[in-house]
Amino acid sequence: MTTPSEVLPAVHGAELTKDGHPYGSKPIENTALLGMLLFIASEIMFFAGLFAAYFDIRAKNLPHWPALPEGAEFGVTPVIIAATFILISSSAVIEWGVIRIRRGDRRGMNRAFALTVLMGVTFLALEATDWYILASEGVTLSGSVFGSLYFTMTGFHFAHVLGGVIGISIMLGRGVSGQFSARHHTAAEAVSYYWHFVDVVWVLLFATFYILR
Amino acid sequence: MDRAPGRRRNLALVVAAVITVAAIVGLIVFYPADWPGFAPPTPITVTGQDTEGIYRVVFTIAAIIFLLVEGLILFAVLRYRRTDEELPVQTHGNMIAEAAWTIVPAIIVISLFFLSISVQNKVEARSPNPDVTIDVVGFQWQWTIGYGCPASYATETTVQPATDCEFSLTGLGSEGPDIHVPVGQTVHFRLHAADVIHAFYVPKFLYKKDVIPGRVNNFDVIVEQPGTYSGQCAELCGLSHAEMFFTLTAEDAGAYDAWYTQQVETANASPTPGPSGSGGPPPAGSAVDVSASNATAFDQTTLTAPAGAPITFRFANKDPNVAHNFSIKGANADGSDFIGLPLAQPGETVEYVSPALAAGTYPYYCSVHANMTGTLTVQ
Amino acid sequence: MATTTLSPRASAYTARSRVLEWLTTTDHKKIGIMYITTAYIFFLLAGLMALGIRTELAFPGTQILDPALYNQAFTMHGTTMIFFFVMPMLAGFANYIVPLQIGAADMAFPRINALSFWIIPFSGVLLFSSFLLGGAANGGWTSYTPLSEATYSTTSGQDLWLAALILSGVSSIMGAINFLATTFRLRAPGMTMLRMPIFTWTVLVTNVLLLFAVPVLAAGMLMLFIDRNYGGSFFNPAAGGDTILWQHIFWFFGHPEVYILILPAFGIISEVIPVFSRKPLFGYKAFVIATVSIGVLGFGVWAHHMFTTGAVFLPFFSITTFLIAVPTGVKMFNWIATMWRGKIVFHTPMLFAVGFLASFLIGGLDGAFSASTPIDFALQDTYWIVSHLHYVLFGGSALAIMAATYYWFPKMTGRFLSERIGKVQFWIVLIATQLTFFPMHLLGLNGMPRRIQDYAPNAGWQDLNVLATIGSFGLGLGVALMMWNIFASLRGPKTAGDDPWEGNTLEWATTSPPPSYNFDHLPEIRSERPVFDLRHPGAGHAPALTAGDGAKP
Repeated sequence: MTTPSEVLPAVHGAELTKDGHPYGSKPIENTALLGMLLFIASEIMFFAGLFAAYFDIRAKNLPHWPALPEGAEFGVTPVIIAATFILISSSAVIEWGVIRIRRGDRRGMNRAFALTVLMGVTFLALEATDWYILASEGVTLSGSVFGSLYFTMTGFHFAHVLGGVIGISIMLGRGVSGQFSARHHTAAEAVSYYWHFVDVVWVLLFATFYILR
Repeated sequence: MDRAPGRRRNLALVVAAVITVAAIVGLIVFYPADWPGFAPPTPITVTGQDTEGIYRVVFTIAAIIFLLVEGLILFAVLRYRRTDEELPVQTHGNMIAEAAWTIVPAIIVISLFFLSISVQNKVEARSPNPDVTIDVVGFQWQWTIGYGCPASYATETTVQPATDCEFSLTGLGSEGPDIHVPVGQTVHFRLHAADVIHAFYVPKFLYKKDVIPGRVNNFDVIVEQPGTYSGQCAELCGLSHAEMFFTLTAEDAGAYDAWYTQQVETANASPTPGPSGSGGPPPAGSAVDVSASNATAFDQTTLTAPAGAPITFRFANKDPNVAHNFSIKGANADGSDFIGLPLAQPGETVEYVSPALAAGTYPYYCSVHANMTGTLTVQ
Repeated sequence: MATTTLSPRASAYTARSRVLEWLTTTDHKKIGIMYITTAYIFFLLAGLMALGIRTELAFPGTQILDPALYNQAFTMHGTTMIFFFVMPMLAGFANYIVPLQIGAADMAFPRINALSFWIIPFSGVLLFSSFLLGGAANGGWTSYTPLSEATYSTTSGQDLWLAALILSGVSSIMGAINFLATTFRLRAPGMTMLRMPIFTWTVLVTNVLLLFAVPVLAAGMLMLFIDRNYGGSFFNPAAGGDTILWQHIFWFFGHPEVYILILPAFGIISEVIPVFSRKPLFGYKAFVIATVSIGVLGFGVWAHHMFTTGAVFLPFFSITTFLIAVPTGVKMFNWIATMWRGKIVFHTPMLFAVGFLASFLIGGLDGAFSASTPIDFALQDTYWIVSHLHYVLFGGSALAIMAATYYWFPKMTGRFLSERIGKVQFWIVLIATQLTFFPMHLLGLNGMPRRIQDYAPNAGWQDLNVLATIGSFGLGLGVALMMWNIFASLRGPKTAGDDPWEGNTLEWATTSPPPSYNFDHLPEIRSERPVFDLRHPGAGHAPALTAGDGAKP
């Protein structure tokens, strides 16, 4: 079997590495992926600031934490479990999509990205539902400092998920119009990195608010 | 490109350098004695002297480094001017030099650090049994000082010295309270913030500490020099930050005890906030209600009152954070302002009785927050 | 002076409309010039505020600024100088010069580059609109809570401040991503990391700092915005929040920020001194290590701004603050060693570089005092700190910016700035800097707090304040002369050529100004001074001595 590198002239970005990946899919070798990684680094610092605020205020208030108003309740709900499960699974789905496009399977990628969009939107809906439940149980942004922290942090996460859903949708649109191939799919891969990041942030949020408390 | 500067130019440069150095030396030698100098003011506390000591050490080292490095710069600038077009030796570096000017400064700063920590431990030391404990409340924009306050004040962040302590002093406008302390005894200051962050700063202590809402800061001093010293807020706290003055009077134990006793007597003599004014019983008839909910404005910007008789103003301080009062410009017979005393604490209602006023308009304001204003129409 | 012959196609493209060309450009050079121009405009605005402040402080009593206006004046002066003068100015020089210095055709992400720029004038206008909408922010550029919370800061000025800075923060983060990607990926063949010019190195480390620090500030500012407008309680102690949290978050950004403001200035000086001394930068590798050390250590000192809160672990932050003096000192000695046994010619850029050395030294030594906690207890929040920060920011960053202007103006326009005006302007600025800011040391030592609109007539502070005010007007004159120099020289003859200063680095290997694609061809890159090597083949290294590395002075 002739590999693309035997057929095509060696052009920067078109070669294959030894293990068959398109040249440039290793992050530092591809400028756009490097840009996405740097962007994710800045986002990590953004959430780090919020988490630092959480732990500082929590430390100040212990042992009365979460410091909720009289009668308010906060804890794991089926809604939030479902949301977590869906978001984590969606990371696997989008990764599968990237693996498929690396092998040139456009339809596989499109299906995976479409499913990821669906799962992302479902997460957003479940998250909004959980917010509604919490608010009706007395946990609000202005009602307590715990509420301020919870809604701010999950709120910015929500915004980031929404941004990711939009990004994946754009990739889906581009993929459906045939713009991606085994050699050229950097944007799709970059968006997948972002999606994994958003997922990791959720895991940390979940661990912080629901497990550690 | 410049051609090589001639001898005359070199001479001119050396002359200029000499003049500059002479000017700087002259500035130092003929510096007016009553202007602020390179040394901090002579400290009046034990710990202030420790601070002054380490300042001198750091200053000496800094001065030596300054003279050395500026000297090197000056020398290089004068000595290595371009005189021909040949390349100088293209030295790229020197490991020994790099090591030297990394290690020697590191040793200097690390030594300074250890010295600094030992002084810090002295300055920040707390006595287990201070002789006097004084509570300071910083609020926009003055101070309330409480003496003989309950032990709970060690951790309570929201305090009312006027009601809880043996006596309290409160400043007004730029006229701060005069805090008395005994000389030679350990004075423990506890700092409470009523609203925003302030800072308790006495320049002659060579020390300050922030006054932070939600936190009780504290520090100990032993004042050695009798005298009256000035202090002011040192953390931007809003409009009249620059007016938050106070004074500190250090006196021998006998004078201090006498002052203390007298303050307690005065406090006991006027037990509850009562009406103040030009004398005479409060007039019959309705009072004028006025209130304030924050430090920006009164709730009412216009008021009316009848002319010809003393007026009772029932002032309700609905501000949860700071004290206010109700004062009227030019309302006294001698033309001075009627100042409502005492201040109404948060949540308090105080009745002030003004003198009788002729018909006309009078501006009113809060003595603590001059931005709170309104117009009183008397008819 | 070599002159590059451009390919015939270099000027083939002419835009239909110059205005549209500049509005839609993604060319790093045009974007750089727009950054620099915008920054100078804000410099003048903030400078006017400074003159207002100094006029008010010269005499006791209220002269022209009542306390309400005064608090807005120093808040906006600091905010504008930091976020709308120094940062965009250094970003502008970096934008223009770094791609040239690494032999690239443009930045990695040109369209994001344009977006980064256009956010700046927009957010600047947003910030200044607060003056017309009820009053600007007035809690200092540090905006400590609770003063900056809605209860105590009731106008929208604080909200506009937050919005403007969040926006300009986004601009900085995008710029950081751009510069890092560019520097890591677009270097010309032969330019290893350790052959990059020092200016490029300092811009690299600066952008790492921006990438990690600005998002934290953004988080803090968003929390304050939520406190102010949506009933949050992050910084409200009565509701369980922590008011000191703001200081931690702010200074976790704020301290790396000051290194962001000075490291590119170090880079500029490190370009100018070798060129005008005709010697390589002494200790290039040490310089790189020192720069990276400052970047790393810079994240570990933030609470030295909070020593008087009683709420931080003093010894840790004191030792890190002391230690960060070491790499800074290394740089100082390396610059002097570069001049040592060199052949120095004092064109205006070199004058400003030496002025920088002389002034920044004072500002740096000031820091050693404040690193000692007991001394800081006395000097924090006094005019000592105002003196220190202005020595490093004006005596440091601003003088370096002036050096950069004189140094790279010929490259950007093909014309020289007038040397005559430059020399006069330099001496006025240097002397005025000392006159304005040195007395502030003594005022602070003597007890004058900062951020006060007025002081008691009998405090003994007036004389030094008058001196400082006279100095500040001298600075105004010096800056005005520089502005005039720029305007007048823009109409001068295009006599600069490719390489007016006999420079070392790649920006001098193309025309002045460069064509839109930067280089027709690149010289061989075998050291950190490729253009020097081209001009003096084989002379780039000192003759081999037994030690192998050049003699000691």
